[in-house]
Parts: sequence; C-alpha cells; structure tokens
Amino acid sequence: MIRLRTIDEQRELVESFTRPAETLLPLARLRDGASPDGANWTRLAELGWLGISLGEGQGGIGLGPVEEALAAETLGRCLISPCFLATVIAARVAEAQGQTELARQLGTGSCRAALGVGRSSSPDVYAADAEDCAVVVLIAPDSIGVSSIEAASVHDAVHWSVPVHSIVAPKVLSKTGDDGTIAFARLLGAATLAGIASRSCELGVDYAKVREQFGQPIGGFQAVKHHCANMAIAAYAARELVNYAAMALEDEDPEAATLAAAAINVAARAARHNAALCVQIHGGIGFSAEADPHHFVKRAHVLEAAYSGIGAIRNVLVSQGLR
Amino acid sequence: MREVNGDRWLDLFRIEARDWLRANKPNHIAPLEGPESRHYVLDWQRRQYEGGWAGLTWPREYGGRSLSVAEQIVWFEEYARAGAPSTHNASFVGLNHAGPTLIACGTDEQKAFHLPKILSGEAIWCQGFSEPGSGSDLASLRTKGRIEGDELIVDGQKIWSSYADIADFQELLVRTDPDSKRHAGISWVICPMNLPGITVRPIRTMAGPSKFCEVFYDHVRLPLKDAVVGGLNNGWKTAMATLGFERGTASLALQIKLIEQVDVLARDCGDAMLAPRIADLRADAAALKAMSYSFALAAAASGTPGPEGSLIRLFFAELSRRVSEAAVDLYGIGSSELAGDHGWAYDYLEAYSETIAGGTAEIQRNIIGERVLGLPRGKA
Repeated sequence: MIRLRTIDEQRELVESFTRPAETLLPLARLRDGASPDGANWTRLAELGWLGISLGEGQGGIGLGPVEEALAAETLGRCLISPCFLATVIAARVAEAQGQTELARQLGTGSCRAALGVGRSSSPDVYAADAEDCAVVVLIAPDSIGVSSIEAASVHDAVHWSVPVHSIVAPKVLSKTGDDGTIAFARLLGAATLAGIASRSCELGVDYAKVREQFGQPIGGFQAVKHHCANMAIAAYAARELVNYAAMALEDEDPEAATLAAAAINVAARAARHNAALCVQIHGGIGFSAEADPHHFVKRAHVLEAAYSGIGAIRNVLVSQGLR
Repeated sequence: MREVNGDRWLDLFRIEARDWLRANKPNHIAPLEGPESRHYVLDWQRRQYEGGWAGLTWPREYGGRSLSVAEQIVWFEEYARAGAPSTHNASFVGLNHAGPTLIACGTDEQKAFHLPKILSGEAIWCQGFSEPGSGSDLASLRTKGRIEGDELIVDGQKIWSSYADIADFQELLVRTDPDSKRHAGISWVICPMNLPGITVRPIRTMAGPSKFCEVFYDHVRLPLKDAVVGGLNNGWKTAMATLGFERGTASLALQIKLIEQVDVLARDCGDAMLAPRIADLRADAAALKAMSYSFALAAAASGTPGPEGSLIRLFFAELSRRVSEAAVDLYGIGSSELAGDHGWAYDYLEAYSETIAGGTAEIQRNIIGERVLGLPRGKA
C-alpha cells in the first residue's frame, strides 16, 4: 500500500508554473490543422514545462512523477502538441541511459521529439506533428526507443487534428527496457488523456447549461444529464487513478508498474468516452470543424496509438502484479 | 502534512491484523438467513471486538480505538485478503449507519446505551427507510408517528429492511408532523423490534434467500424520549448524516473486497477470450481504490464527505455488477466455485440490487448532474 497522503501542496506548486497554459494554448489555435505549438516551443521550454522531472544537471527542475503527472494533465487539457509527451519521455530515456547532452537539448527545447503513432512499412513509422522534429519516440510494450529523424513527409493532414507524418528514422539513439521508465511513460500518457477526459466533460456540461431546445437548457433533459454524469465519473476516475499511480511511482512502490498500466487503460477509455459524448451533446455544431469537441476525439486516438493501442496494456493487466 | 502515519507502524499493524485474522476468522460459510445467521454474525462481531478490531475509527469513549482512516484501510485490506465473512452482513447497519448517526446526533443516554452493544456484538440493527410508495423518492414517505403524551404511536409499512427478522433495533424514519410535506416533518427514531404491533415478513428475491424484509407497524408505542434522535421533525437532516457516512467510509470494506475479487478473476482467466474484459475490470478496480482512498482521507480530514461520494458510489455499484457478471461468464453456470461468500451465482444475482438500493442508478445520475455539475432540474 502506498503512503496515504494529499497532494494539494504539489498541485499548488505545479499550478504556479502551468498557469499560462490556458492563454498560451487556446483551443482556437488548433483550427488550421497545422503544427499547434511548433512556433511556440522555445517559450514552452522557458516556462520549464519540458523539464519538470528532469535532473537539474540536464537543465530540468528536478521534481517527481506526481508534479510531472499534474502538469501533463493541465497541458493535456489544452491539447498541447503530442511533441510534449514525446519530448518529456525522450529526455527521460536519454537521462536514464546517461546521454546527458541529448536529455539537456530535449529539456531546454533546442531538440523537439515527435510521438511515434504506429508503423507503416518497416522501417518507416508514422509520427504525430513531426515537422522540425529531430527525433522520434517509439513506445513498444516492453521498451522505449529514441531515433533520429532523417526524412519526414506529411502523410495525413486532414483527419487527426494534428498532421501525421511518415518518417524515416533508421538510427536508434537511445533505448531502454527499464520497467520504471516504461511505467513513467504510461503515467504521462494517462495524465494527458485524463486531461482530455476532464476538459471534454467540462465543455459538454457547460454547453448543456446554455443550449436551449424545447424551451429549456438541454442539460435539464435526463438523457443529456445522464451523459454528463457519466462523463464526470469517467473523468474523476481517470484523474484520481493517475494521481494514485504517480504517488506509487514517487514511492517506488512495487504496485507502481501495474497502477501505471491501469491508469492509461482507464484514462484512454475515459478520454474516448467523454470526447465522443462532448461531440454528441453539442449536436450539429459539435459535428462542425469550427467547434472544439472533435479535436478531443482525435487527440485521444493519436495518444492511444502511441502506446500500441490499449490492447498491449490489457495483456499487462491480466499478467502483472498478481499474487 | 503528507504522511498520515509512519510506514513502520502501519506495517506492524498490518502484520498484527493478518496474524489475528488467520487465527480467528470463521472457517465455515455464513448462513444466509434465519436464527443461525444472527448467532453467526453476533459471534463474529464479538470476537472482533474482544480482539480489539471493532470500531477502529470510533472514539475511544464509545469502545472504539480512535485510529485513523489509514489503519482502517489496512484492516479492510487484510480482512478481504483473508477471505473473512462479508461485512455486508447483519452488523452493517449498526456499524455503518445507526452507530455513526448516534455518535453525530444522539443524546448521551442513547450513545451510552446503544454504541457499546453495536460494537461488542450484542445487538443487531436494521434500517426502516424505504416504503412501498417511497423508493428513490424517499422524502415522500408516509409511515405515521403520532405523539400521544410521552409516547410515539407508529402506523404504516416499511420495505427492503435488511435483517429486520433478526434485528434488535431499527433506525426508522416516520412522518411526525401530519401536515408537513416531503423533507419537513420527518423524524429519525429508534424502534425496538420486539414491541407489540410489529410484524416482519421476509421477502424472497431474484437471488433466492435474502436479507430483505417487509415490516408492518400497527399502533406500535415507542417511548418518545428514548426514541427520537437529532430532534423531532428534524429526521431528514439526521438521515442525511447517515447517508454522508454511507458515501464516505461505510462502503470502503466492500470496495476493497471487490478489488481483491477482481485480482482473483485476473489470475484465473489465463488466455481466455475474457481476458480483455477482465483487464478493463482490473484497471477500473484500481481506479475505485484510488478514488475511495483519496475520498476517505479527505472526508476524515474535513469531517464531512464531499459530493464526489455520489460518483464513487455509482461507479462501485456498476463495477460490482460487471465483476460478478464476468465471474459467472468465466467460471460457468455449473461451476461450484465458492469465491466470495456464497458462490458467484448468488453474488451475481444479488448484485442486481446494487444499482437499485439506496436510490436507483438513474436517480444517482440525476443527483450527480444537478448537485455536483450544477445542471438545471428539468421538466423531464
């Protein structure tokens, strides 16, 4: 059992430096379908967002997994580029392998990592938002690799809210099969997905309060109200499990790896569920490209794909940490 | 303050709990109904009390140990792991509803008389809240409590009163102000179950033998001074204190047991086609643990359970149903697996009550929508 504790102080600390997120990352920036945060990358690095749990020797802040997860949830709410997740994980892999210079470049923003989201014809891979990225992170069920990108071309700029590139990345710079690093990567993905679940719940609920049909706000209809309640439960479950798994990682508890796997499973399902209901509650406008809900649907899929879908995680959950 | 307790103390506490349970837990299965079930439950409660394991978080002055929620969780974890008898038994209402309500709202005399009896396994309590016409809409209840001198005369009917057939006392909601509507004019009273005019009729349910009963009251005379808890016509508020506990830590033992059961399914499922479903259940069980531990800690710190309790409660109810359904699918109709208390077939059928009892899942969703999310009360 992990130490029972509240994380209020850690939350306050993280809020102190993620506060600019809502203004720096408005959802409206996603509307043109281009790289959402590429131009802003140096600014994000200056705010410390890329090196929260990275060692101070590598230009990071040196905090722990609890703070890292809280920040990822906040930034996930704003649909920060998948490069955020990729860069933080890549820096962690490089650091663990003693590649201090690569870790430093990633943590300080001079090198940006793209998130691998599936294999095309080997050795090529697909990666989200890979323009101007020097490296790609590939998360397998039992290892995480960082490879240098030699060539990238746009594969799909239409369907996934961020461009998906087809990239050539034959050279592995860094690789680890360490359980702790894999658990950390899953925790971060889970936190980002939990952010998606929370924000799409709030957008759906807020809209249900103001949109009127048949002479009343649609949130007064039980069918809609119950969708909202289901979203609230899913978001709450994902958020609490992410925090709990983060505490387990902080404690180096034997349960940590299983909890991280559980967290990404729960958060991925919550993100898809809530994003889909958010579109549904918005009705016609929800189906339009000018409204925000569809970005959450798409991002949930992109992030899930980076972890080989949740099928691989399900295998972990019926085999690992059982007495 | 980030640490509730030193790790070392909790580790020792856990070992002590594990050893005690190994040596003392009953080895035969709890009888489902009748006088044997009463003896079984009272014996087991008394043994826990004498071992120092009853009322861990209750104040010392009422026979408890004034420990924190951390020790409570450790005890429930070891309790579930040891396969000790379900806590959803005839001592549940006394320990988790009536007892905490008396601690919060009772007079000194009421506390001194009842609380030690509850902890030490001398008395069984049941709940008299629901009526045939008042289920999810509890505030519409009609059982009358008419004041006559220093007595309260009760007439009416209650239903879904668990263990009323073997109980000594009932926490009973009656309408004491006949002109009142809904929440106003209700009183929370203590009703001894051996009084003249009380008739108890067990209900057969879809799960077979069952704890549920109907209770009929025909001019039942209660001594007013001993009976009323929390003030005349103030029963709704008193009952809400009970529900606060129900949404706080009362279900913790049941939640922890469910989490333990999911681990057993995960271990047994092998490469079966069911594996993906059970994987999701195990992940959801981890989420339940995260939510309920964090909620219990916050509730203990603030003294009042927050509104998130209604989310956890619904999540738990629906997970219980999914877990028991997966167990029946995994072990099969003909299997004699006695996981849990009475085999999965019973647990599966019994779980249908989880999304009905204490307000249906639909009403719970309305409550979450309106009171947690702030959505308007609609016309439909």
